[in-house]
Amino acid sequence: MNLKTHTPFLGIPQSSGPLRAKQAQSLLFSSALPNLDKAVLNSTLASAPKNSGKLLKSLDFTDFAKTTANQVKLIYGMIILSRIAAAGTRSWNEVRETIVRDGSGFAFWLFTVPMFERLMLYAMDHKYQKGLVIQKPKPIGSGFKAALKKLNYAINPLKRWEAPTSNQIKDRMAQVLDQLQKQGIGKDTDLYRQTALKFKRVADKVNAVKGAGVLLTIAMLGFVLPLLNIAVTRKNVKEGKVGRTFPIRDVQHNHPRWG
Amino acid sequence: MTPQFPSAATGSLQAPEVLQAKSPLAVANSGRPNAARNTASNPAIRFGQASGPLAAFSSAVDLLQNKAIELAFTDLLGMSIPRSYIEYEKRGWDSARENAIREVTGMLFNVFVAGWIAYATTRLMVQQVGQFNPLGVNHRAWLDRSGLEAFSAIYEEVLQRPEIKTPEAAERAFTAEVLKRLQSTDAKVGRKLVEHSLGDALKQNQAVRTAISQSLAQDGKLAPETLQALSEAFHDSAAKVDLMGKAIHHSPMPDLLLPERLRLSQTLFSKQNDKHFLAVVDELAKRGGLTDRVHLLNAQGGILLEDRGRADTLKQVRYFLHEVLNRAHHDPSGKKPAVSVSDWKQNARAVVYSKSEAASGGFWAKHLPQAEDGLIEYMRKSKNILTVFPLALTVILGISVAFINNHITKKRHGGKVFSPIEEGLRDKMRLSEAAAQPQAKNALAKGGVFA
Repeated sequence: MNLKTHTPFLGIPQSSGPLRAKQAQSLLFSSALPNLDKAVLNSTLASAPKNSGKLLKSLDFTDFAKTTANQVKLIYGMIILSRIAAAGTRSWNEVRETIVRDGSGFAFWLFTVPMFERLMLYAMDHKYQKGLVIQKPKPIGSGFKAALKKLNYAINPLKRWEAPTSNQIKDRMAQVLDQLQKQGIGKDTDLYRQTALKFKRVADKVNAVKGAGVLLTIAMLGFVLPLLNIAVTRKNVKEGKVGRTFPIRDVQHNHPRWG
Repeated sequence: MTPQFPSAATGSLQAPEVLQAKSPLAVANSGRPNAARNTASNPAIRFGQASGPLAAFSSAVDLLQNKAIELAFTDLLGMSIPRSYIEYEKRGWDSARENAIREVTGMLFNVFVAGWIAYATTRLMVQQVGQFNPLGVNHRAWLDRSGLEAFSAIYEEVLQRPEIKTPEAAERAFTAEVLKRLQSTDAKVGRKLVEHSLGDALKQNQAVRTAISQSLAQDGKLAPETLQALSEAFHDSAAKVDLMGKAIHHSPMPDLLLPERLRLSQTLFSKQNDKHFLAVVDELAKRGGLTDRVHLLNAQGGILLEDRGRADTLKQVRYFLHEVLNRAHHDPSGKKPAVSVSDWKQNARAVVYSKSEAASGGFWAKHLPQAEDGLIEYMRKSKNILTVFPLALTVILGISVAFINNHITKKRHGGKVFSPIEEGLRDKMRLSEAAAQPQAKNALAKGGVFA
């Protein structure tokens, strides 16, 4: 079983600087390097660079000049804050619309497709298939962090179920078909084609679920959220709740102390 | 069958036989008479062809496997086009224009602009061999921080082995170790999927079942024979840079050769060459047992690098060999020839891991890459610039759009500050009321709220 462990630099658990260097030295000296100049090694490892911070690591480009999902979250988050600030200079209706539109937009745009996909695959697997999804082990332990992990496991389909992507299914197909050929089952045989077809159908189903997730996202982002916003703003405009001051005016009018 | 790999002399690549053969998708539909193709009862007909609605939909969704394309697609079709249309219909031109500017620029800034700025910054920085890039490292051969640390940790493990006597042995052992530790993310569920997807006829065929079981017994890792072939491929591709590394090592003025080394590296890692190399090694890795997404494991079997693209990881192994290990083993600053095993290992460690005295100096020495820095430190400082600057600039540009949008609306209406989402709605409501009262309609048509 793969347990996610925090990876230390040089295989040494992270701790404060000098302690880390000492651990490195003891680790190296305990191994088979009898001929090393210990003084030189000492100085080299004592000055070894520390690990990059978690934040910088998470925001790094993983491929050259290709924006990553974490970077998108940061940039979009900052843009949303600026939109709220800019809307605040004009109207509270606009602030509300921005929060509803972009706050939900952030969630739908970045998370709906993978979460919907995993949930649907689980539902499909439960009813029709056996082989698309497996349940990950439930987190164990006590304390605040463990409780958060358990909560995430309970509500987040991505943390709960493991499923292959359609590309992975196609790769598995290629591997199995290779084995068939090695066993003398050629490309012209029905057995070969039927096996390929079975895999392709599974890949199609996974793709169809992903496509449904994309369509759901488009429907929510493009139609449900804007129409909902317009309906609420229309009601406010009819009631005269417009501009930058209406919430204060509203409170003043309705609050007993202000008459 | 031994696949052919990039020649050290020419740098050319020849695809192994496994790539020259037609893919199963192509084979399943080739060489069949038209009548047979049109027989709906034949299950092989629909395979690989977008003939059914599900298959057609699936082919379209295949285009969205790239996350950036998926995000841009959902943004354009979800946030930009329908919202702008709805805004125009319900609240008028100003609201629609604001929405179009906000969402289209939002999509560009969110998904693409940081990458474009990083591309331009890297191109500029790489060329500054004397100043911002004193060691002439090709940052185009991108190694992210996590990858760099994971690979250098594995390299250190390799150096500690007593049987590793030469730099070449260290490079080979490093490559083999990394490849051995790659594991498909679908190791468990993939096994279940394969077992489920085998037809009854295959399930009853004991020989086939055994063969497939054995191939799956690798637990989502590479088969030993593929591991050997892949190691050779990486070693061959490193040979040309190795020659340059040796030349620099033995040159009386190694600094003069650094720009030449950089040029060679840029040629080797051009998009075209990368594409050729990856076409070979990626296909080999796929046939050898790895699927599209992989983990890199540590010695204890825990996850060192989580859920990476297979091709990206293989590419980074190559970059690490060329840009880090090659320099570690042919260090121009290590003047004395490495006569003993401990000598070259010590030199290599110093080149890779050490931190320069300059790093404890002033602000710029701490944050800009120095010639005296160990490679890890050097690359980390470079990446701070190459990541933080594009992100910061993108955020600044991105957050300015909302205020520019407001300014345009204000300027279009003679300095009047108002919210088009309210005024546009009010205007439309008045128009619809006026439609019921013809005399009011004429008055409104002459003026309106924005007049």
